Amino acid sequence: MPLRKGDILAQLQKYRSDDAVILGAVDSARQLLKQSNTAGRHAGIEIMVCNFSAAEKEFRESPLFTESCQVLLIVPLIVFNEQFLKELEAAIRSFAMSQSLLYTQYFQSDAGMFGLVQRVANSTERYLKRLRAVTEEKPEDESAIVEELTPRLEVHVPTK
Amino acid sequence: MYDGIVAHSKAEVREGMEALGRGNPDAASKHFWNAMDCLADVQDDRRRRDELGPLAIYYVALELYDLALIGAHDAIVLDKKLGQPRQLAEDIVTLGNANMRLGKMDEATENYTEALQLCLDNGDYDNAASASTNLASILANQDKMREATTLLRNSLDYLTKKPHPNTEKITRMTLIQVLGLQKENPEELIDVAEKLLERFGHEIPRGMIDTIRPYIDDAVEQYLKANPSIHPLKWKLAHFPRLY
Repeated sequence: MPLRKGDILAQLQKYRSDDAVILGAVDSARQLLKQSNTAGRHAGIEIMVCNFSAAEKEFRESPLFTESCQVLLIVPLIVFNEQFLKELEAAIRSFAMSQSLLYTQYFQSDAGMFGLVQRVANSTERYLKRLRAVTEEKPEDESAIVEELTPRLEVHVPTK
Repeated sequence: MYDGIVAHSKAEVREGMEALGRGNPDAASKHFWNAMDCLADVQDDRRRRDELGPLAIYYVALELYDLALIGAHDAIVLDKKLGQPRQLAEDIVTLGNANMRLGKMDEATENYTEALQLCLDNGDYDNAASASTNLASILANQDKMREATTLLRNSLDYLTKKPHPNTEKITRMTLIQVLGLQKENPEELIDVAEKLLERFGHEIPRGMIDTIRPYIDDAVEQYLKANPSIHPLKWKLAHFPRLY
């Protein structure tokens, strides 16, 4: 039996993310979505970020689960896996530590690049927590990072 | 109480070094991150800072600037909480070093300036010299030679109050280059170089001597030209026996 809009939302609500930084970026993306809605193409499209870390096997095998992001046209809703966004955020924050690509250590040594990939993939939460702490008292740096993350959300919006 | 975690952290660093020695940077990076990551579980702030601060310095030396920056930042937060001005200044210098290597010159300048003031307020003259010399390097790279010269002279002055051989070596080498580029004061350059080679000549690698050698040669030529009554070879042998 096909899933109904109400069932889909009810099921996803259980996993709704409560990560303040990610949700802040999602809010900005919502604004961008509204602003880009000149032709009414995106009317009513919502964005939801879900933390699927505690999801059961059954849910993970359902069409509602995504490793990254997907559009559920029936709602219509764009669903993001929180883990996917956190990995993006960790990568953005890591590169933001250097002034430019010229200085980034990730392109200067294998150890630097391999180390980053491992940390982002295997210690996302712990690594991101440390990275977020670095800009905690620097609102300008922090908002630049959230700004950088926002278009990553926006580009996934379907255009037709 | 946290000996186990600290021992684990040190073991991870050792394994990281061994992995680097085996030519396996992939594994090395994992160990270096683990070494820092596990320290987050040390609940004793002082203990955690005392591990994080030196680890961040070590990571700067290993060119792992992102980890160094994270470690130094965490150490600074703890120093402020614990009210440890000397350690705070040291950790701010480490943060400045990481920022400088990551090309963040404005942040690094801010870090060194803050550290310098903090050290002077607390009479930590060796750390003040380190901050002052690092700040001078940034200014010299921005062609602000006069400001850089003043800071380097100040560093040498601080080091007379509290010696630190490695900082003195770096300061003298930097000052030689800065004075050499200005070509205005060969006497001072000669004096700085003479003392550098007298004190540290035996331990400075040839390659590093080669970087400052042209400036010394120029200053010596300039000095001898201005003082024609001096016998050049005798003077050179008397003042720079390691070079001539």
